Amino acid sequence: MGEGKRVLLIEDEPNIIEAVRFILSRDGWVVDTHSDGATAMAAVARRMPDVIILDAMLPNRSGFEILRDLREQPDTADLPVLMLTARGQAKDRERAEEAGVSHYMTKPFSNAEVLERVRALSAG
Amino acid sequence: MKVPAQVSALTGSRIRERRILLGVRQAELARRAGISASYLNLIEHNRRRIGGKVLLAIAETLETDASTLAEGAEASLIRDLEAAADVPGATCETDKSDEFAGRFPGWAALITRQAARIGRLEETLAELNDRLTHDPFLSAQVHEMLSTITAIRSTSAILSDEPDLERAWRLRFHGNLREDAMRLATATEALVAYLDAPPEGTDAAQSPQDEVDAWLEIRRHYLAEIEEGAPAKLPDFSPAARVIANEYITRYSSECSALAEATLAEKLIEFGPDPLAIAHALSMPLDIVLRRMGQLPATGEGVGLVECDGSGALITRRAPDGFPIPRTGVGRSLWPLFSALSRPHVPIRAELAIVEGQGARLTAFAYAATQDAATYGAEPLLRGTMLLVPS
Repeated sequence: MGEGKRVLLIEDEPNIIEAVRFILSRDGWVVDTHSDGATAMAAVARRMPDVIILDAMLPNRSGFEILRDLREQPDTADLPVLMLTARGQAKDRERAEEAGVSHYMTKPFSNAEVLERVRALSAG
Repeated sequence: MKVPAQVSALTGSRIRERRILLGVRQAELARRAGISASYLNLIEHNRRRIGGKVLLAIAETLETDASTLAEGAEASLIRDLEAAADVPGATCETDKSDEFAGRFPGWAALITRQAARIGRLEETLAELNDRLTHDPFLSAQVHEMLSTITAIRSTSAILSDEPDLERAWRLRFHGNLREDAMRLATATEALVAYLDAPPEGTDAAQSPQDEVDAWLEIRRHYLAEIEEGAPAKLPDFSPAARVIANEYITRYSSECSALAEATLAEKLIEFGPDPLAIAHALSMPLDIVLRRMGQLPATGEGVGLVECDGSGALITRRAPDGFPIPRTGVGRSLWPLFSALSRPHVPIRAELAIVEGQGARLTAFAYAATQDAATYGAEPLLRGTMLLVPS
């Protein structure tokens, strides 16, 4: 259960945002959302989340680049990041792992998978 | 009939195979060759060497040539077999390849043909995989479809798993489902149209980028109508190829306005084919000069132009004379274009020698530059450009 912890969902598909926000909210999470890759780091700094769900393909800046920046900042270096991508190729997974992803999930994922993984990442 | 100089250890196997094929009894063949049946048996099991008159007599009886029996037709077959066995994890008895080829030539030939076919299919697969990765239309469509499917899956699971869902939420999610279903249908139709119905007269396996490449190759990358201020004449492209072609034309028109054909022709007379000198003289970005030189006939015959995006995927391919430019390939990493990509904004000049053919030489001018206006906190998009001029 979220118990009021914060999740930042960085995703540009409005209906995915709505569905994921709904299932996490029902589980007790406070869900913030952001859709633009270029300003994602500012969104993180504005309100530090407990877990980030990060889409790999975003407008203006890729999730991989955002992840690298997160890992370079002392405040976010250890922040749990669940990466979502529509690209299931092995090299994308390697790219995410090299950038320091906590967990990698390929679209289409199930609600239960997302929920379970966010809970696990939050628990450390 | 001539006795072959080299007689292989498998001559006996070939004699036995040929004899059985013709239905000649061992005793009959031995009699005609002037040897005992037991001695022929030893020969046929490769336990006795054979040559000279006996081999000639056996070859005549078996209606074949002595050299065919002695050397076999399988020398290349053995090489191909050993090549087929050269795969990771294979535990073939390669020291017995000659024996296998001699005893089972049909099976051996089948293995080598299948190995060759696997090789061709692997090349095709690599090409298709490259297309899936770099074809902008396919990549965008697959991403669109997977994202929409994800939204449908999540939304429908909520509707099914939450029986007490408030009416407002239920209506909202039903609306989202309908919207996503429409999006998925549109994306699927576009993908099917792309895969099934390429424009008439084009290769069915072509990607939209291939269509545009083929058109530009015919035009030698020179669009005279744009140079004269008229709209570009496009062939009957697929929708996706039309998008790519229009992007090309937009940039061509813009750069045509920035650097007119007559101006470049004058500077080529003044400086020769030196893009950096021309760029300095005109205070013009070097990548624009490279592209214009690669497009305009004034630069000369046999010129090539190659462009790639930041990932190294080729987006423009005008092959210079005698220098094919594959979209993929191991040797590509050595091109000056990729050296430039690793050193943005540093002009690179290199002399290239073509190893095969007539040994032609080319001068390569390569440069990588950012393509978009700077954005706070965002990495710039790089594009590499390489002009190839016959030396």
